[in-house]
Amino acid sequence: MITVQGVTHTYREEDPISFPDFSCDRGDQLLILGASGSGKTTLLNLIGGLLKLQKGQITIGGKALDKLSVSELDTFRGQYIGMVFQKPHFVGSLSVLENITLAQSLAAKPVDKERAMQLLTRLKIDKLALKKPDQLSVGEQQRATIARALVNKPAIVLADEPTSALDDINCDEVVSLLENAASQEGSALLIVTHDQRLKDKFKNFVELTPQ
Amino acid sequence: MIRLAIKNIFHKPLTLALSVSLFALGAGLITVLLLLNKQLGDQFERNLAGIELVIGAKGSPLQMILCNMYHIDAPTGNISIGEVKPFLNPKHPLIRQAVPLSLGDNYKGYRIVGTTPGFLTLYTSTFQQGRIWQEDFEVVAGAGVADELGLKIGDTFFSVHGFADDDDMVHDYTPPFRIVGILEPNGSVLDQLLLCNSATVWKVHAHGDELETVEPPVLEATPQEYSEEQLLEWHAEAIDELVTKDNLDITSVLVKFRGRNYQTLNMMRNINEQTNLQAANPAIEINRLYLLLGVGIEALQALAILIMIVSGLSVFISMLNALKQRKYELALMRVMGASKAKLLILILLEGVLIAVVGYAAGALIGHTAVGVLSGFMQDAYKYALDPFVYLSQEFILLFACVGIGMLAALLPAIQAYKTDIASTLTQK
Repeated sequence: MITVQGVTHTYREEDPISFPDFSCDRGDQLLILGASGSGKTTLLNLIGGLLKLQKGQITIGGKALDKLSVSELDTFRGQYIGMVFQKPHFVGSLSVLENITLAQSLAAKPVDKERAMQLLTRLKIDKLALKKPDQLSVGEQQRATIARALVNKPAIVLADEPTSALDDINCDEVVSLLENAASQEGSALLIVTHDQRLKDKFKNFVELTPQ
Repeated sequence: MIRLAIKNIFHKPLTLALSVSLFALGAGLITVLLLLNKQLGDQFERNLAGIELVIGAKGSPLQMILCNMYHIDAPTGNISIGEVKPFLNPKHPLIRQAVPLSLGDNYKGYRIVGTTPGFLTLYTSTFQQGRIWQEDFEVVAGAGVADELGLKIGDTFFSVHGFADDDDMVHDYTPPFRIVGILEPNGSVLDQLLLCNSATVWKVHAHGDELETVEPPVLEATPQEYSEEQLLEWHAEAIDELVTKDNLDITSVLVKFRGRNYQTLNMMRNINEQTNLQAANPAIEINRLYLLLGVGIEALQALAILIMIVSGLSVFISMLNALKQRKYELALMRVMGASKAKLLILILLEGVLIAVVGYAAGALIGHTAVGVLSGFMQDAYKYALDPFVYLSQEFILLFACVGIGMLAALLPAIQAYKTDIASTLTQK
């Protein structure tokens, strides 16, 4: 589903950051561990098409990212990648449900409320569907962002530090929610984190080395 | 997209209310000014009716014009027929038509004007019902008066002295006035007047004289048509009779010249310098009035434009402030597949929407205000404004509002366009 090969990014001429090669298949899970400064964020932005690829090859769902134009990347991102962040962000003026259907329409897909409600039900926040995001607790908000990341059946779910702000119990819960939800949708799950607690929970992991 | 923009602007109702009310205030004020300017201008224009000179008693020339042509001020005084006799002469070398007016009474605030049939030719009016006055105390009502007071052919009333409705001043020792005709509405001051012959006004004011009551005539509602020649013939007869009564008073004479030349200009100066009469040119007086009002109107216009600019600023500042909080959601939308252009359009759309809502509220306020104002004017001056006219300038105003809204949203929109998603969302 995703392969990363020979990718190197250079912000400043003298210290290029190179990333290890890895791949992750449909339904699989991969943990990318790295301390701060190891280029986690850069990798995330490269995979998400938010930063332009300078060297190497990233393929998602059979599409090579460097072949896509900026506007194609926007749509591609919406359709193939679901993102979960450390802090849950929403469009504040829309209800939880509308936030999720917004992800459908921004990805140029037909709005399917039933699909969105199914996901909310599975994540046990269906009763909060019509509330504004800021009326939800942080845990509920995190669930809602997972639902949003999955609504377009993305090829991969990209989670950026989803647990680092959570205590052990919540950390376990969010990770298993992510795992279950992603595997049910048949999406590859990529978690980028410095959170060492997650190391034991995943059999596949790549470690980024500070350079 | 539009739905999202609408939800976004309603997300902060107080901010929205502030921006919208500022827009509405500015747009409303401009709307009122536009409507007033246009409609008052039209009224003044229409009521000029080709009259080039008004001759009356000495006093303020502007007052004389307002009183005798627009019927909104008190007369400057009376003049005797003997004094104005030369101007009423149909063979006068410069004057094509001279129409005498006698004012002094009203019915329910509507002025009763004693005149000659020539008055009707000034405003090219036609009859909706009935016929022209033939005897004393026969009255032709303007369409507006008839409508407002529900007057019908054959209705009778007593006049009230002066120009205000006052029960203590009723002239009830005279025979009653009787409506014999109702005119078609023509948008001129004629709509607001009650017309009769000059003799009627004298008789009302000749206290103590014996006034025999006449047998009520048989009246028909079918409208009579009169040719201009016919009216002018009667006019000439009425003038012939009028000039025999040297000692009686009238209020003014409305004059149309045969042509405009230095002699007509001299005539005005000569009257003012060498007689006890006063002559004034209505166009010049109205222009003077405009110049006086113009300062006020310009000040209001400047104020309105200032308010519009402030409303633009308010939109700008509130959007820029909101952007700091909204940068996450904008970056998020980028992540979810929205292009940079989409965000730009979204923010611009929000600015435009606020402007359009503000404009709509302003137009509503403006037209309502003109409606209310019209009520006041109707009470005080018997002039009505139409609050339901939509001027083409108002359409331009809409574009101006949209422009201001867009301009105000431009910088925030560009900032949104440039949002760096990567650094915004991955910030710890």
